Amino acid sequence: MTVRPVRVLLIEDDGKIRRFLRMTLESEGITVFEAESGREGLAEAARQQPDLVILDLGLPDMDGVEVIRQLRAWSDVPVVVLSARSAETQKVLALDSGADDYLTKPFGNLELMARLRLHLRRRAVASEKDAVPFFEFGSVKVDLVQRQVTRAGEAVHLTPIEYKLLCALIRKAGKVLTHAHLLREGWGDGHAGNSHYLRIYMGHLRQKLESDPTRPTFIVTETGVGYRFVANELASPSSTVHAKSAPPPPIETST
Amino acid sequence: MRPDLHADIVSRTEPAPEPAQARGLGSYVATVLICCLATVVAALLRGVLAEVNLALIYLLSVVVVTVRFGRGPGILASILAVLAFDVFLVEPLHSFSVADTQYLFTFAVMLTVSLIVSHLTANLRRQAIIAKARARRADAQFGLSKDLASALTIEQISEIAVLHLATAFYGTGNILIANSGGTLDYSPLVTTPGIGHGTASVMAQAVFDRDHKEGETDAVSATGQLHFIPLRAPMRVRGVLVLFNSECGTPEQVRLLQAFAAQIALAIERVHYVDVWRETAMEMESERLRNSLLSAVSHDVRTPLAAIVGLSSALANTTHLPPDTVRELARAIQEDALRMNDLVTNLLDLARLQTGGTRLNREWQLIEEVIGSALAISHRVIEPMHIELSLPAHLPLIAYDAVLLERVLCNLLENGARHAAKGLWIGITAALTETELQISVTDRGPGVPEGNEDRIFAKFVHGIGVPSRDGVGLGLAICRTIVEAHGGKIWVEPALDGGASFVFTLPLGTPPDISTMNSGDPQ
Repeated sequence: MTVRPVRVLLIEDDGKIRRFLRMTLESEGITVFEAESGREGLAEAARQQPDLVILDLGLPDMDGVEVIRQLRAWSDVPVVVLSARSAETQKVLALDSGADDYLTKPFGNLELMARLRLHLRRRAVASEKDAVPFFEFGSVKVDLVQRQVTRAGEAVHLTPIEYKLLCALIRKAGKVLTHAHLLREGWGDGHAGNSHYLRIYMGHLRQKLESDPTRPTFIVTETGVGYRFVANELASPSSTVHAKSAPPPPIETST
Repeated sequence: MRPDLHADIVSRTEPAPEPAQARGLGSYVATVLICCLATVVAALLRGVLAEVNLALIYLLSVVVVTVRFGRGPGILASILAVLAFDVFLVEPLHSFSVADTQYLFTFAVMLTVSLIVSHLTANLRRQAIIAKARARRADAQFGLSKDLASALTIEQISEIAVLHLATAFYGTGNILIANSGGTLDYSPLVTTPGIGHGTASVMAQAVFDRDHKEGETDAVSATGQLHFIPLRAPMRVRGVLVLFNSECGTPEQVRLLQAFAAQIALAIERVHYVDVWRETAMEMESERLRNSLLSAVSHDVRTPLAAIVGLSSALANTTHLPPDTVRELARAIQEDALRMNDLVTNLLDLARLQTGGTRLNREWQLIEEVIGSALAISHRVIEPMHIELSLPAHLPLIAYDAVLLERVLCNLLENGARHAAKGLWIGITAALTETELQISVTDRGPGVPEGNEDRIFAKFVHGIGVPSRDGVGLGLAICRTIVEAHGGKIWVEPALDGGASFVFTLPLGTPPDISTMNSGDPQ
């Protein structure tokens, strides 16, 4: 069993941003591959088989969303997109096309690394054990086999749809799930106009599982986009930005 | 306007409306018939009444004729009366000769009295006609000026003018307004049937140009039934009035037409200057905004920019800096860059919101959700503060744009945090009324000085004693723009224990049906 460094592919046309990203990633011991255009990026992705792709949505040669679609045809590598502010529709489109997360420019290195760690960890966990029988966050335990949820040792009663939504969140922990995606998970197709169902159910889930439902720590709102489940072992991205804790150990995946 | 002069003009020039002349020969025939009738009546009464009284019957007929037909027939009636009296009532009958010479005196007096009565009656009648015409003209002018006074646009003036020209002259009138280049707008002519608008527009332009250049006053160019009158206002000629198919032939009517033209021209000029004033006021306002934007930008952008340039040049050009100093400098650069990012974000947001480039993406959702996400986003600012939330259970769904409302709450939280440095406490409450949801963000800062409650929502206004480095004074302006776009209101009121309470409302509306939400989801 050898340890190989994490490999990240950077598809970004702006040289300065590429430089900043490369510097940050390399200081964490990550191997970086660069591409300046969408076509080049797709070719690099096929050649290098990276563990994660960082993709700028405003590329000169092709639409970033199109890059994701083509990439997703043959790869399930985590994709984090970089987008401008107030472009919620673009973010949703990218996420629905298969992106895992987004970062809004401008962002700092701490924010960037917090997000990357989230997805690299998720990938590692998913590849190690495909069926996790138990899932824990805070004082909540979810038994995925028995379909039972307890909070501080006491059984929590969830309706079937609530349980479906919770499972969808847990399965993709760390990933941003769009409203449309979660609606499909809970109610099936044909409910695209009923996003208020989802909001009410997420409210119920928070009431049942969060210690302070109005300031949730696990079921986090991504305003204008969807929801993200943040388990306690994976630090919440917002709180890491200014955390003064010691730098986390370098990320490694075993092959 | 001198009424005497006008009366004079009318009396000298107005035989036209008199029915006697208008009907010509008919009235003279009628006069003869009336005199015959008088003779028959007198002949029948001859044995009953004295001759003097019979003469009075003729006098009566003279008065009737004059009142009915005017001066000419009156004179004819006077002469006929005397002759008929002589021939049919005075001995010897059926002859002009007179038996008693004293009847010659009777005839002379009778003729004189008849003529005088006829003359006086005719005068009275004319006065009445003049008064009537004057009243009609005054009415027409008054009606026009009254309507024009309430006109606010050129289109309204045009409409009013067309209407009044039609009533006063029984014709079709049009107002052709000149643009700033001195070309008339012919479009009203096109919609009017019955005239070759090509010719008419050429003639109107000719009238306008002549008057415009030579300053000839009161020019009326008439061709057949077409009249062109320049609309002359104090500052310049504003256009041309075109009137056709009208009953406008007499000098008095032409005079009235000119008066109309003068009033319309004045109204056009008034509207023109109201527009000019409004434009000037708007320009001044935008100039003021531009100036405050410039001063805000030059200060608030340049200050962090200067720091960034200075600090980064120190980093780049100084060798052997201790690592701690390097980190410190870099952190300072980061801070100022973030501040500039906030500023630019605010400026862009406001510009986008105010130019109407943003469509609200309203969705029915819980208000708790956006409060939660705003608190999460603002954690950097409110970290040291104690946040007290008081939200009633079971709040209804509200239709709002989550991204924009999150911005409102973040701005209010930041604002509160900035001013509540001593209190270290911020309260967020929600309350329901019948028609709206009220959300307030309260701090324990110094509060808003009285009289400034509205001003602080304007652009580029800083709080009292707040260094302008902390913001550009755009946050509350953005809040107001967003809340008002949602159909709500935002205001500030003093909090109970000092400090300020920023309150905004969102209309409740009718939440969507959620009856099918639980289908297939047994509790």
